[in-house]
Amino acid sequence: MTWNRIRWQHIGSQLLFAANIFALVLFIAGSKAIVPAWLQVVGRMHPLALHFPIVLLLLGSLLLFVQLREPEASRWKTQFTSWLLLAGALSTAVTVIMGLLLAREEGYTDGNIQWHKWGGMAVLWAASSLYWLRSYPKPWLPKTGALATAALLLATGHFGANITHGNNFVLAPVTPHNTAVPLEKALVYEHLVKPVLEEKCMNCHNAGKAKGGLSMELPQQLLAGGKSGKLFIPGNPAISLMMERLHLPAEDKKHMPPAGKPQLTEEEVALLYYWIKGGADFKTQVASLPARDSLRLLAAARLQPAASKEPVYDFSPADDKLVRQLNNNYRVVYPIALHAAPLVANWYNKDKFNITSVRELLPVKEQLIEMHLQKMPVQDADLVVLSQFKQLRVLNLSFSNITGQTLATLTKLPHLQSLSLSGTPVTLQQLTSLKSAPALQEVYVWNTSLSHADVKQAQKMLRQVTVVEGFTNDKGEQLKLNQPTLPNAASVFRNSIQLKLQHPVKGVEIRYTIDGSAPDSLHSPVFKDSLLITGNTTVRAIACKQGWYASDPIQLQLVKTTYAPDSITLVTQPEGAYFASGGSTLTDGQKGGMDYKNGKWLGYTKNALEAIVWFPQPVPLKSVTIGSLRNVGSFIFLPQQIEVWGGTSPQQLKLLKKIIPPAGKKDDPVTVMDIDCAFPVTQVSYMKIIMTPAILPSWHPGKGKHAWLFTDELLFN
Amino acid sequence: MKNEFIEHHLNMNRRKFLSRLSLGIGSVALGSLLIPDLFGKSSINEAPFIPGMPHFAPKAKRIIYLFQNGAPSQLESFDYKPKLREMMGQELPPSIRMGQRLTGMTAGQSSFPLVGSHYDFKQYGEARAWVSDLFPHTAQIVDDICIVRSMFTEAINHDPALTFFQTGAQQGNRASFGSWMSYGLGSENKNLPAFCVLLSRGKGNGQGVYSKLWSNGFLDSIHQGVQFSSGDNPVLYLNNPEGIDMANRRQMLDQLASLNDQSYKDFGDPEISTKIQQYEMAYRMQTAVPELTDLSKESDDIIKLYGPECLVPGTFAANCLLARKLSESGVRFVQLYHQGWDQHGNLPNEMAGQAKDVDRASAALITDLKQRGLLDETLVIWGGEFGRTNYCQGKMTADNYGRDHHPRCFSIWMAGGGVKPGIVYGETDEFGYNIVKDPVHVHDFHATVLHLMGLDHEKLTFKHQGRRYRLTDVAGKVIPGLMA
Repeated sequence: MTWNRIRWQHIGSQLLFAANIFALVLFIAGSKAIVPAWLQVVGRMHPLALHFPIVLLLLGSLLLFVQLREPEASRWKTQFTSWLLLAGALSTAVTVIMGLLLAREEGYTDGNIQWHKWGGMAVLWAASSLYWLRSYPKPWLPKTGALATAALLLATGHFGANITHGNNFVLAPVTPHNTAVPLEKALVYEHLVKPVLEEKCMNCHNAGKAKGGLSMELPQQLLAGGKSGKLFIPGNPAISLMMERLHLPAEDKKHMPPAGKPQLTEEEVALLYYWIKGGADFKTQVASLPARDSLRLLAAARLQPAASKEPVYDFSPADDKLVRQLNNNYRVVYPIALHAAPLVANWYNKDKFNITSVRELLPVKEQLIEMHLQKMPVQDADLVVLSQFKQLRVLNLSFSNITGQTLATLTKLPHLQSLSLSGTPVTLQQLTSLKSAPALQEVYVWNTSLSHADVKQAQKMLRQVTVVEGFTNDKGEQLKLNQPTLPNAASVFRNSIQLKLQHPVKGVEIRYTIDGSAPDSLHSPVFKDSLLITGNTTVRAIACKQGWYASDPIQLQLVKTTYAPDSITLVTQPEGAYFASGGSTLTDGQKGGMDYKNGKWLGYTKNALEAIVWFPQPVPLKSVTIGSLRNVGSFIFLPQQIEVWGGTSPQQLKLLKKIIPPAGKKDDPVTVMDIDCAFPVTQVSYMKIIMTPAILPSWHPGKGKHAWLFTDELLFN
Repeated sequence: MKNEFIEHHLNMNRRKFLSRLSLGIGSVALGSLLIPDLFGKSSINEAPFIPGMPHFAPKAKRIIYLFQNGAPSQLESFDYKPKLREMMGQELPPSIRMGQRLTGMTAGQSSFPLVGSHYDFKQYGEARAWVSDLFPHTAQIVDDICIVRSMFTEAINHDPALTFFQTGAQQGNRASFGSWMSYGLGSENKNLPAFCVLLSRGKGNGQGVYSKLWSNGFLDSIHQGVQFSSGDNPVLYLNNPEGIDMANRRQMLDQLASLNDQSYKDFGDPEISTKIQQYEMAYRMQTAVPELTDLSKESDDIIKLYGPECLVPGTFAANCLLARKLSESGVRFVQLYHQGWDQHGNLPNEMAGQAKDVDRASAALITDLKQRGLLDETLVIWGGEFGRTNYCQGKMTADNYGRDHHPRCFSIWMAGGGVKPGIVYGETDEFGYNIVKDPVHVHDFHATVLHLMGLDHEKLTFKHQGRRYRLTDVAGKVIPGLMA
């Protein structure tokens, strides 16, 4: 034992220990590691390094079992083995670390990687232990260790090879397999029918065995059939022997495949059925079948999908910082995905736009694939700037200011696939200049100068391109207009009101009546600016326009209140959530409508409503109109009784009118009712109105309880 | 032999121990160079995902979700079941119902008479998809849409079902779909919010919608949905108050920003910088929003396409038109709600009214996006929170009936942005009660939509109260059959 040797082995052993710890750290927390590029290079050398541990460890393990009689040779062997094992363990550590770094890269996701990782760690531990225990006094320990290490090594290597070469790489040449064929190249018999027969039938029906005299290996044998006759009649699966045998009950002796053998799935039976139905041809291509053909759909499900149509970009990404700088409030430039090179640019707010804002993107023209310039004031001359962005795939110029004169400039874009020109005055002539655009697939021409015939013409000229026309109303469909609206629809007014009617559609005429008759589009007066109403009136109005059906009539009842009280005080307070704006609700000129929850109604149930009304000076009154709601289902009834008291001072009130409204009936519809309380003309400056809630009648679910009463407005005439 | 053991053990002496210890620590240190957060938390790369950017190239950039609130009946829209007409009035077989739970509204019913659609169905498009006569305009675009007949959900009542669809959980404390999208993909247009909400209401029996459905939940408040109202002020408090002009406003905002900046430096609360950003965006929205919501310049073609209702603010048609304009202007997620689809009774009449409200405009939206070249990058979704039962709720007459809630199957449709067009996906049994082929759970639907938007639903997470939350919770799988 020379000092040198011990020293080097010592250093090696220390290194091995360190490498073990390091590998363990990487193994446990590796998923959080951020691997710099240069280390990735190291990681990728894993497949190179892994050959060393295999050879060294296997050889070292083998030598542990070799017995040499010559003592000198034996000593030498022991030393040599020791070196081999150290080198093996160290190279294992290096390989494992490299592997763990490599596993961090994307694309390593399947189950093999987990097994391989664990296996690698196990080999490392086994190899390290083997080295440290190589001269353990009991020789069976290192020997068992050697065997375990070798076994682990083989298993780990196997999983690793699976990752690199695919599962079942070694045995693939001797295992039967289906070659994956893309749909467009597949043949119905060769790639769909035959594999089913091979898997489920040919174990017995092959040239060697040919049970029942039937072999299915070759087309002519299939056509010939067996002892029971022809296997099938092309075009007629219903009476074909093969289908009969497949469909017989499973326990039937003649059912195929026989009980206990793997059965055909429903899809497989359907496949054979449709193949025979289609004439049992041996040469038909899947691609030649119609798109919605049953056989084709089955084929699509079984065959591997056509090669992915995901576009591939071969340029390098732009500088992140540069891209960030190019963003502002009105222009957004961003990569299509995280860490992806292609860029997309959008512009917003046409007032802030000028072509410089496009020119500023020239530094990233090698990456820019989409420009969304819709509604921006891009001019004809600006297309020269756009044509410098050679990587453009999508260009949206709809509703921009281009006229189409310089459209031919865009043919310089070698990759342009989609171009939107909707809402520009582009003509057929100009559009056909796009004929030489090399990659164009779609062009959008809605709302341009092109007529329907022009679009057809354009479609003919631009063969490879889909010309999208969009919505046109040339079917002459007539639509019904919606109703006019009333922007100042207060239905209660004093003295007079300037009524306004509106309609959102341009060029609409509003015709109206104020006598309650139905308005029509020919004779009724046309509404202009405003309409002066001075008395109680029912206004009905319709909207009319050439080329449209007239709208349904809108109807509004306008009622007049002559005297406005100074104030109204509620002696009893409204109940529940129905307090609206208190006493002023009753004189705000707002009718409540059908919805009692809208905050325009006062509601009472336990207490009677008692309101005191003040007028600034005595007024000659002849009626009070009380707005009420009836909604039997919601427990809302008309008051049981209404009393109107009036006089010139609080001390001298006399009963002017007492009304008992009709009791509610079961099928009363929901209505808003104005209850008129008329009396001989009386000078009044002070009034008291009392309304008592009804009691729910016996037919009502809440019988015996108080009903609600709702009131929204008082009119004084 | 004994000595050898002792010798072996003596090999592990203090010197060796110390040298190995130092080596071990050194190795750990070396490892930590590669793994910055090996020892507990570290500032960078805490989140496994960088918000504001798709994980992979997206098929769709924006979503318009036409939510039909109240649950439209699949049996009168897209799921044709002639068997129900044949067996009209007969009892729902227990073998079909399989004892599944019912709502409290019909659980007490003594009989469950099957009821067929009052409306006829016809086949349309290349897929020969069945569409009822209530949806004549949708029928014309079946080649552009993908009808999913096999949706199912877990909730049986409106609020939890709606909340489940909109936030991925039945309780209302999570971030909504649009907020996730804003968080995951960021805003395209810095002049508008990334997530906008538009409401409309039909005449049918309605269910409420609440602002929790567009809440940002635990996400930053910048991701909250902004509700556009139908009046003169589409976005509340956006206009300058009286006597304040743009210059004043700018000055005020600059002052405010410097104060906020100061307090951000003092406290470091990220909500402060969010606030500054929101003020700035509101300032830019002052010019962007009026341009969008102005319907007075729409061409006759557009009015004919969407129907004249589209000019009446607050209608579904007007909201569809507005949704198109918002989406075109880079709003990531436009959420519409049309209320009134809860037909427990009087279904034939009410549903006709509801369908009339939405059919033309929904189809128009697809056509309009298509003709502008935007359908490829916009994903449109139409549907409610669950389906309706195949048996009648309440009194059944020759031409009137009602249907109760049914979460076990219902139909929605999707179009544009990476969705396979012109197909009908999934199948229900001939009673329209259970799914027999290709079921799509709400989580699967979310996962698929996120996938189309370039997001991995398992990676789009937000850590809150010690747990990483996802829109798809702990479930959901992408459905390849729905994607082109």
